[in-house]
Amino acid sequence: MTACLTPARPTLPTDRFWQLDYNKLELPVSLGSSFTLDLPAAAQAQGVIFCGLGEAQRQHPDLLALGLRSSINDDESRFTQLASKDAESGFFCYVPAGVRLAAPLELQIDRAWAGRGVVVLGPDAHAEIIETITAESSETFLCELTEMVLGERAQLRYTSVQTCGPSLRAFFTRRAIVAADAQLHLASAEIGAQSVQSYGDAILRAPGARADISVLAFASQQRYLDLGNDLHHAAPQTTSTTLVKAAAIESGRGRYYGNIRIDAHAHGADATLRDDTLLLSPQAHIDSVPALEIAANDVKAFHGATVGSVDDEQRFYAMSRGLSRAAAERMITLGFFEPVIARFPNEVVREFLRDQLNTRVG
Amino acid sequence: MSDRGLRIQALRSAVAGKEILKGIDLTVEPGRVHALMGPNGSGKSTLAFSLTGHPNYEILGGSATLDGADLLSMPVDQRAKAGLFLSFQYPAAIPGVSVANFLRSAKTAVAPDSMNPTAFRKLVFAKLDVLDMDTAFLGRYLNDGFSGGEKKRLEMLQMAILAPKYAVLDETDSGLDVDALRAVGDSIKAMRAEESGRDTGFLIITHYPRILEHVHADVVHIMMDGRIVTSGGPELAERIEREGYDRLREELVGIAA
Ligand SMILES: Nc1ncnc2c1ncn2[C@@H]1O[C@H](COP(=O)(O)OP(=O)(O)OP(=O)(O)O)[C@@H](O)[C@H]1O
Ligand SMILES: [Mg+2]
Repeated sequence: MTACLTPARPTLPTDRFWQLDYNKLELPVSLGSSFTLDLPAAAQAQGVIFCGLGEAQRQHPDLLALGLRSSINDDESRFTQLASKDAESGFFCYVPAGVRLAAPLELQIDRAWAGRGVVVLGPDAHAEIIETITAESSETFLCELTEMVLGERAQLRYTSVQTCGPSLRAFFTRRAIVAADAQLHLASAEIGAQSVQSYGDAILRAPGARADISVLAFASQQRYLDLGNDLHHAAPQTTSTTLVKAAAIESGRGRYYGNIRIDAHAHGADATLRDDTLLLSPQAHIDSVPALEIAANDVKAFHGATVGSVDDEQRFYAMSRGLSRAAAERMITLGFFEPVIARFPNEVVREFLRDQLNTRVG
Repeated sequence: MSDRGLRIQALRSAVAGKEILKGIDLTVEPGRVHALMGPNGSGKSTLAFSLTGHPNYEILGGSATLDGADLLSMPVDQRAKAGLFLSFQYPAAIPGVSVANFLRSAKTAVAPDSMNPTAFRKLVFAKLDVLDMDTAFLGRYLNDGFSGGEKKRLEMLQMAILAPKYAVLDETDSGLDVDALRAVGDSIKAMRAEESGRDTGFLIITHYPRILEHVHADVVHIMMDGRIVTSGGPELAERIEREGYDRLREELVGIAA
């Protein structure tokens, strides 16, 4: 079971990239001071739970058990070990069967922490979660692993926007199990932090399950990005679309590891994965490592990757209309990101991303 | 001011190490229309790109000034700010950047405090109307998936909005249907209208005399092999249409011999 759920991602020579002595890491701060959960009264009245992990363990152990360790074991990696170290550290969200939330649930993380997140949607439940991660602390790190479990026909939109300060190191693993005819949209923006590891995986476990994954990532200065998505089609008639747009300026570096896995019995699976990389300086570098593991033969699987720099003709065209070189490149770069920004489900978030990129590019 | 005009003198330029322009002399006065014709590969686009500062085109000698200001020493964006506009033969597509966003950015760049957002909107809608373009264009990505004719109309829309002092139109009339051709003619006329106090000078690169039925050309120049070999009135364009370039070439060689 575990072996099947855990993506086989090539490991990085971690210490070299993260410049961390893992053995000396302490949990940065306690849960309470690190984040804010916002549960509107109307949602609470419908039986929605949105609380800290400690509280969930005490008051809703049965519901929590539906999601906790459903797809991520404590010992999957050094970071999952770390995030699991404090059993109370994390958050829990539960949306009962049939409940359709009108407004997004908001989660704000503004200090370094390490912990687990668990999201459980009952059958036919609809929910949107918007997570903003803005920790500024220096000398420290942030580590989150979030498991999601979607019941039949459930719909979850999980959006995460990370704009941490330039010395923070951040590690995210988000993984969802998607039931029959359920839909997951996992959108993440990695804009800040010194180095970021961000993995987003979906296990499409029953017919009709669908996952749409959107990743926007930006690396500047000495930053390093380690991005990965694993789309596991474990049932017939499952669909996934993945769009990744990553740009690096100055000496920003990174890698993207995108994997589509289609099991032998997953007839009619349809998987599209596209990752585009824009390098804005000669020192910038991002490797793209595509992988397809397809055991069925009546499936559609597409993996497209592009790497490029700002096109000379585009730049000249924009400059010939009066835009400075920097303004032209900024505009072209924002244009590069626009297709993935457009996939983020919330207009406020989309505008925020455009603003952030506008000030950070060039 | 006596130095007004787009003045090109003894301009020589090269692309990929090969000399293409071999000494061009041409002055476009404010409010006047010059047509530039010539066989494929004679250097017409090279002249347009040399004036606008495309990095692939190396200036070997000569000068180009815009109302007295030295164009050739300016960066590309500075030339636009000085009042030069090029309507591209093959405009670049910039996916992800909407037409509306691009127009606003360009207008703000060339005329920083020209107008408030409401006035700008009004201007854009008025110009869309002249060019018979749907407002839906504004939301589309710049030239991305545009048809040939749509691209040309968008070039004209940008010209109308940026209101340059001098505009070089590189085969804007090629591939246009009759209505689009008339719309292009109308937008050119609007930029020379006495009543609006506009006196944009035009250098219209074309293969067809048809555009000149919509816009009266004051002078027609013929370029061959990187040189302007002869200039005349609109009848020169018609003659080329009738006889082709070979007759003219033979005649000129005859004169030279
Ligand atoms: N990047 C390049 N590398 C090599 N040669 C080039 C390049 N660009 C232009 N040339 C050459 O320069 C010459 C002039 O080209 P130019 O595009 O100016 O011609 P034109 O008069 O505009 O032709 P047309 O009527 O076909 O548009 C041609 O011989 C062309 O092949
Ligand atoms: Mg040409």
